[in-house]
Amino acid sequence: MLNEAQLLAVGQHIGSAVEVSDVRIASIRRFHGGASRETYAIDVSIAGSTHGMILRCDPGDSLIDTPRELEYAAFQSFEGSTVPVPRAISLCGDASLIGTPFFVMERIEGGEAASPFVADAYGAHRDAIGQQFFDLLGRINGADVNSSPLARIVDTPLADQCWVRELDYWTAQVEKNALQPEPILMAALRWLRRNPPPPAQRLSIIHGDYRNGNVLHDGAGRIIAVLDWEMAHIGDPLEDLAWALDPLWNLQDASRAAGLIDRAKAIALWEQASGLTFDEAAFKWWEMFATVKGIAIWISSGHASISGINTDPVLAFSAWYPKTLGNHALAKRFCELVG
Amino acid sequence: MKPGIDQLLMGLVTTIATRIIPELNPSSYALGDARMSAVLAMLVAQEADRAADTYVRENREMRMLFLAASHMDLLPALRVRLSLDAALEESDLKLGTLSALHDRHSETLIALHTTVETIDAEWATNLNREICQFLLRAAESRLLVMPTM
Repeated sequence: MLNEAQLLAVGQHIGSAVEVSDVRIASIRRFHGGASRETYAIDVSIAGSTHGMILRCDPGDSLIDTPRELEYAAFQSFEGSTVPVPRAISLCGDASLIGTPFFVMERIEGGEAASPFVADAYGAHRDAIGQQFFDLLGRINGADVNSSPLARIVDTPLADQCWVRELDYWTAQVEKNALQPEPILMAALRWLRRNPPPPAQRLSIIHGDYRNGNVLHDGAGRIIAVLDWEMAHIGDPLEDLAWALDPLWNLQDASRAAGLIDRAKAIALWEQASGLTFDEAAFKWWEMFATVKGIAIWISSGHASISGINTDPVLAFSAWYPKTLGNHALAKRFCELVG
Repeated sequence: MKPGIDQLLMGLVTTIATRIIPELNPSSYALGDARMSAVLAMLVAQEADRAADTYVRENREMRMLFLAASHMDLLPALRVRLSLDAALEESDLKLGTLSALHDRHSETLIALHTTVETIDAEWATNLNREICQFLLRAAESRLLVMPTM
């Protein structure tokens, strides 16, 4: 938690951004979870009126090794669009203020996020949420890349290099953080390397962690925000779709895409909103990649947990339970491949 | 040991759920930690009972794969490695011992699998299939029952 001096510094920083001198942090509360970022709800008093904001900063041992300005630029890329995102307020790259770069954005009030491990998390609103969920993903992947603030922050790969860039990155994460030999994961990495997908049909903005736990809904069937853009990049749009459809996020209902709606309907909604075409053969590669990427993240969780740099129980959980599911999914696919 | 490890852990879960969590501020960070600790304890209770059995069985299965593969047309260095691994035994049944041997065998399995995938021969195809089936059994044996939330 931030100390008084740090809160004062954050208040002054926000004051500079909104060009008001009378700014102070009235209260602060840390959200649980968020292994890759520390997230705080802050009430900010600006000239006597209170504004709900979110402070996001790197914990220093972040599982996701991306710069703070990346997520800020991703939010900016969709501000004022039909993809609901909180308004980005200010970015501070100066780590001396609170010990880490941070950014501040508006707080969406009244929103809830579903846990992937809670069955039937949306109740009667499941279908409505599902339709919006895949429609919004299509809008993200169909958005113009070149004019986006994100394109100024991240590199733009060639269409035939999207897959290898992602595979190289996550392979390196596994090599860096693995706590034990991983025969199933290694087999998957070799398969991915030997069987590359076709070039991306177009370069898209990729959210990078688009799943039902990273959207806020209002409890009445409406998605009101898409959050957690720290892994945003430019790449093959099938990457996002495969991640969203990974069985890990199915809310314990394997019959539905993301535990929400029929898979064919989800894909059709994504195609319609993005203007892209679903390529089943190419998707097979990205589908396996999504599971591999997940396991790489869970391995990073385990490394952070066992090394003692982040002892939150959620990291130990992430290192274990979702990894068992990922390994099982991969092993099943291999048995299907070899007959 | 009575109560058993699983009983003790489930007792902790009950304590966390009924005595600790209700005392915590609903907006506190510690509430999330307490809930996650309870879930972890439930999962560990499942794993504690089966962990030694899983290691022993998988170590034995991998050694059988290595023994069979050591007679195949593979590079001499790999055949020697397979033979050495196939001849190993657990010196005791402590989880640390079993896990260390499992790690060693897993490294050898990765080396074998990597090689077998590149060989165009019927025996290699069959061995590849056997390795994949072993990996699936191993993955299945590690699945956990997630408590209803």
